Amino acid sequence: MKAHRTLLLGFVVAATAIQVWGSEKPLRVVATLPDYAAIAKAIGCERISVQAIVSGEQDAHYIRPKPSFVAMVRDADVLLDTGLDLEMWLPTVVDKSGNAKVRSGQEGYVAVAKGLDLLKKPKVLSRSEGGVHLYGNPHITSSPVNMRTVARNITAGLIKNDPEGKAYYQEHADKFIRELDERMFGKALGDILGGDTLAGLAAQGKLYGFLAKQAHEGKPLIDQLGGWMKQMLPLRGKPIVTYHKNWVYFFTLFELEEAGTVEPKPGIPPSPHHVLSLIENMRQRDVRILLAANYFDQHQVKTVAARVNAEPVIVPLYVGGEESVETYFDLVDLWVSRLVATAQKTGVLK
Amino acid sequence: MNVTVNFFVMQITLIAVVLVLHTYLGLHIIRRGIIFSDLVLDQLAAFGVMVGIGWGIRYGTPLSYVLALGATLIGCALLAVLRPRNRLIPQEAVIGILYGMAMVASLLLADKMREGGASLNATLVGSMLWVSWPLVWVTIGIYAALGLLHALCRGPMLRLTEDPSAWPRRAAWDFLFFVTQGIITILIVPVAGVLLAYGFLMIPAAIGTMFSRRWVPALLIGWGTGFVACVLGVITSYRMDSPYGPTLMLAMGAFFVLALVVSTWLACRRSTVPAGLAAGSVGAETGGLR
Repeated sequence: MKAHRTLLLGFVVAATAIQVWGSEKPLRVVATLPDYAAIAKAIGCERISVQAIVSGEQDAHYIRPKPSFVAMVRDADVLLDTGLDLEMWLPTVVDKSGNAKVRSGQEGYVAVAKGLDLLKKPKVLSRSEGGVHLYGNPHITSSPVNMRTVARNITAGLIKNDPEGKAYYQEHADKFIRELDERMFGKALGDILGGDTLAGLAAQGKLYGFLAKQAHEGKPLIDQLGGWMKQMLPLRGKPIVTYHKNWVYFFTLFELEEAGTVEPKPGIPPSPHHVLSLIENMRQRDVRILLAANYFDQHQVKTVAARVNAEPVIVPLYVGGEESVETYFDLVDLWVSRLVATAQKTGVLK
Repeated sequence: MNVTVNFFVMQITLIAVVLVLHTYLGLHIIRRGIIFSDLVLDQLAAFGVMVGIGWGIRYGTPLSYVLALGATLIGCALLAVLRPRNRLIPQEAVIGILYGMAMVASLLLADKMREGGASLNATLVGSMLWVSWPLVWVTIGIYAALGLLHALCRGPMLRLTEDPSAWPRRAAWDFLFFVTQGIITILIVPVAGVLLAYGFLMIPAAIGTMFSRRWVPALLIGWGTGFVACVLGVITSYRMDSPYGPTLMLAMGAFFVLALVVSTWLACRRSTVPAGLAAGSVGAETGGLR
């Protein structure tokens, strides 16, 4: 009888220990891009553990699946993916992992771009256009305004897989979006118009125009603008050449003019005609800035820039792409500060 | 000078200079039957460039060339020394294995690098579109020096290719030959890429060899057809708005196929005429440069 009681007690203790251990075990989140991982960490904090497959200085289009990715996805509770045709290598990794929970459409899978109004949807679907993206441009991370939707989608995914943490995730997500809004538009303007209204206008590239026409308490509303939008305001309408079309959302948000791309069709090397026209155009229009992600061939970027007396702005596209870039806010800070500094250096901004 | 005119003059000058030495070395390589040795050296030069990028050394800088040279010299030494004694294992097997190792080493390195994908792609397709006049002048100077060296050493070099058996000094001359090949490799690979660099070396030389066994005519035919093919490639690429390096390679490839057809036709025609009349024509020619 005593032996039975001891055994029963042992079972109870073991079951309790397993339950406690299980409840304290963080939710395992795997993100394709480091930006999604950084945002998930800001929302999930200590309730989650998070890893990113792509590192900050890699081109997310061309990732070669490795066994370590399979191991990462195999153990994941939640998988964060753009949900477009950027990470084309992901289905192979998910298949090999055997983790049915994180397959597309399942509870553990989160398409972070869901609900975003995508730009540059192709009118003609043809492989002759190079690496065409069927649903529209997938480089959504280049615009901070898109990260509001991304943060909400991530929050919904975390709650679905860890319902007990709902209030916790919601609180941190609200905090993240508030901080994002403040860094984008400044606190004063956010208090007047609210983040949703501002973000809606900014995503369509209409914020500067709207603010210029409106007044608040007898003063132009644009005077209330702060944050990155204010820093970038002097560059509004300025022509900038990019290496690849991965800045479309950034250009729309800050109302910059994309005056051409070095690589006209993604993934296909340029022709002499294209390069010579680009150089001619840059000279004629006095385009002084060439923007490129740091995973492209910097030699080419610098050569074109040197030929037309322009300054290359080579920046990481993702979080972790440079040592100092640890959060998404650091990343946008770096983009904005380098562009503004280069514009001043080249005389684009007097 | 107008941007477009400057582009054409610069590209055609570079191509003309590159083809002289590449066609000559290509003739040696074809006659020696070490067809893929250049691919090994090209790939090793690309590997050296990529190691440099991984260490933060900019593509196309002197230090980048030094690293490419280091990797290429290792390849030259291996090519000169590694000769399987087993007759069933030909030298081409060693070359193939070395190429495979250099290629996968580059892939593994690319995986760990920031610009890995772009660098690997650049080493394959090159960046010939982006050359500048200083680079063209440097190339002309180095190619002239190497051309002079080959002219001075043409005796041993020709023996190396035509009658290397029972020659104690073979390994030393072999090494010198591969070193000159290695130097042009490290100059041309960052510019033209592994594939086009291989095309420059092999295609004109192969065309020249089709029409003459003698060195000077083969060199002139190879250089001439290679040059015309490349100029047509430059113009086609510009007019048709097609990627530059691949178009040049395809133009040379088209000339190679055309040369094959013409040489076959000439051989058929010769076989239909009396033997006495065909003496001295294609395939019957032998002889040397000396």
